[in-house]
Amino acid sequence: MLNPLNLKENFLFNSHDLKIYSPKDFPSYLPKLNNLYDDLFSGGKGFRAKLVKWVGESLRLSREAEHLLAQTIEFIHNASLLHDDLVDRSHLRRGKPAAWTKYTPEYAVLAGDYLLARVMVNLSQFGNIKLVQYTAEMISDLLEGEWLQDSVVGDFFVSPQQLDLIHELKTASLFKWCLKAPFIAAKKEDPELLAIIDEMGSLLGLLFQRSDDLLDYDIRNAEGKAVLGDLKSKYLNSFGAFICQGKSRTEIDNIVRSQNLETFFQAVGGKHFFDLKLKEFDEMNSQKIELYFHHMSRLKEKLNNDEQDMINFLSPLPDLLYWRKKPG
Amino acid sequence: MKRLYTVSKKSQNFEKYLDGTFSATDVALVLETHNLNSLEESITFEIKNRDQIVKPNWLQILLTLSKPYKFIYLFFPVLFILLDFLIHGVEFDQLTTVLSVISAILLFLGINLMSDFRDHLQGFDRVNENHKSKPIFLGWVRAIRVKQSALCLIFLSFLFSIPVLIAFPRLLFIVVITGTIIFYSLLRRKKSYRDHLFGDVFWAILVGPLLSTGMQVAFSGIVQLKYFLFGCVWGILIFFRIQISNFEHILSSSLAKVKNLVNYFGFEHSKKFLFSIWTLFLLSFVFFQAAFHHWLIWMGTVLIIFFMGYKQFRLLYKLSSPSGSEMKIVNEGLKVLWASMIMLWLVQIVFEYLMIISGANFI
Repeated sequence: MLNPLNLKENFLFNSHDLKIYSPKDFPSYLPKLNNLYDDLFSGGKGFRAKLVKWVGESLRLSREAEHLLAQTIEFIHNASLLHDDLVDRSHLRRGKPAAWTKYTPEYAVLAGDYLLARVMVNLSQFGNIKLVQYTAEMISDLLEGEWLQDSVVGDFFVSPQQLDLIHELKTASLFKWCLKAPFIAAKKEDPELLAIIDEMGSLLGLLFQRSDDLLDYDIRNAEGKAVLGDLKSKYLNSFGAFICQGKSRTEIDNIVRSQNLETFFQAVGGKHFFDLKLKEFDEMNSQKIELYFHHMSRLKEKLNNDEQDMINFLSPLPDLLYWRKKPG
Repeated sequence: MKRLYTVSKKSQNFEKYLDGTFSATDVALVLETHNLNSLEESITFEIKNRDQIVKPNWLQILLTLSKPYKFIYLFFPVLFILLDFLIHGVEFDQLTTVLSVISAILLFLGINLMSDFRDHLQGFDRVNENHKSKPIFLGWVRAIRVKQSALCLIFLSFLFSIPVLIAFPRLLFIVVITGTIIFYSLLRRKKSYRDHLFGDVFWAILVGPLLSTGMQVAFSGIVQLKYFLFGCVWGILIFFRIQISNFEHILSSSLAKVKNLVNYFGFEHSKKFLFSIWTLFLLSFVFFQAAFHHWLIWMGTVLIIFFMGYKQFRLLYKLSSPSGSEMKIVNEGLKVLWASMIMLWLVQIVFEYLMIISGANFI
């Protein structure tokens, strides 16, 4: 069992420890399939799978059920990455050539579809129809979010509120699933409890997305993500939309043409203005974090005594996901 | 540290927090809604002491609550009927005219406030910015006060209509139909027009044919087909305006499972739906004008509005996303088209009136 008090150790273990992907689970007669999945599953942090496992362990789920749920979320997440890279024409994924460039677009699409099909096969074997239904709903939300996001590529006047709706579907749906699916698998179906979990998942998803969007502007970018990558791909992310609010067409045209952070700062009105907007953005998200802790205290009241260690896992998540602070 | 409180729809306190009756000293401001429009709905409020709320002066609160721009729905038909009476020399009773206009203003204000209250309780003000009543949302007034004021205004409206009803008893027929629609769409405890797919049609009927027919009876005691037809044309134009707003919020309201025709048709088909309403309006406008006015008076309006509409609908058909910035631009364009139509129509009737009083007679 994971030790809730030693979070640092838990955050450091990699996705291989969870054995999310094994070539034995997939037909070896299909050309390139296992090579493609080998590339895809190596290098990912497997954070969503860990989240599922932490919640599952607190609920005393069987290891088999925990593994199934962890595998499910990683399969869905990776299927979305396979499709996403092709849709966005991204050439790199986790510093390596994206699957569609290395194995052809056709194989990338089919490999993504196959993962989603395998999710349904595995879940239906588990025999919890509510879990199957909830997972199918989550995949629908994810796809709706992807679809809408694609429809705003190249739109530099999109509002932060409009992006929030997209992120709620695309990103938050997965986080909600990570927290809620173990409860459904454990047949803990108190609607109020599930609603609290849902709200917490939604807030975590939003915080993660906004923090991820800040990496594009080299804010708390310890993992060294490419700077201005979204902007150069003609996608105005949540912080970009926040900073561009109220700017004129000419100003936005200049911002969009920025090739590096220096020119970006100049275009938005100087580094001082950028810092002020960042402070405002952080304050806005601190309020979301406050809301998260409010829901967590409600959750604490609903959990049984032997499930309380879940709170220890959930408490540092805003710090980890938004402020990118390593726990421990 | 904020004082936060979450209440679920199943709780007995749910409505008390929303209408503001949960405490005599505190105010609950909506912070976040989850699972809107479902049995699992829950709302997180920020609880503030009444003294912590910074309120503007009462005049500003009153102006924000009454939404003056919406009065065009009411004043245009009144102006049209009165000017048309003057143009055609129709005699009308000045006292019943004044009383009925006051009654209509009070009723309109009451309905708007009641609609704000219903929207707040049902959560539509949390989906659609246009439905948000700032005074309720910012804690300037409690929702229950808005409801009480609405009922008071509706009652006052009825009082002002009594002398008119005595003068022209046939008006009772219109009052009964209007009352039934208002009761069915707004005053029932659990349901409102927003729970109905065709709910917006109630508004169009109310401010369209019912208002124009009621007004002509209240002004002169007579019923003429012309003013009923005018009400129908006006009702279609109002319906078009409501659908523009619904279309603007198609994504958020669809996710919140709000029932309306735009959500029913979906993003792509709604473009055709909007175009169909506009075409229906233009055809009915031409039919109405051709039947009652000289072509020189109205042809200019039709041509201008036709070309303006052509440009706007081309943009609408090119619209690629319900969530991007283009959506706002296109909808602003459609609202300008709608406002231009009213402006041109207004110019037309004023011009017609000025021609008459200046002695030119080509009508």
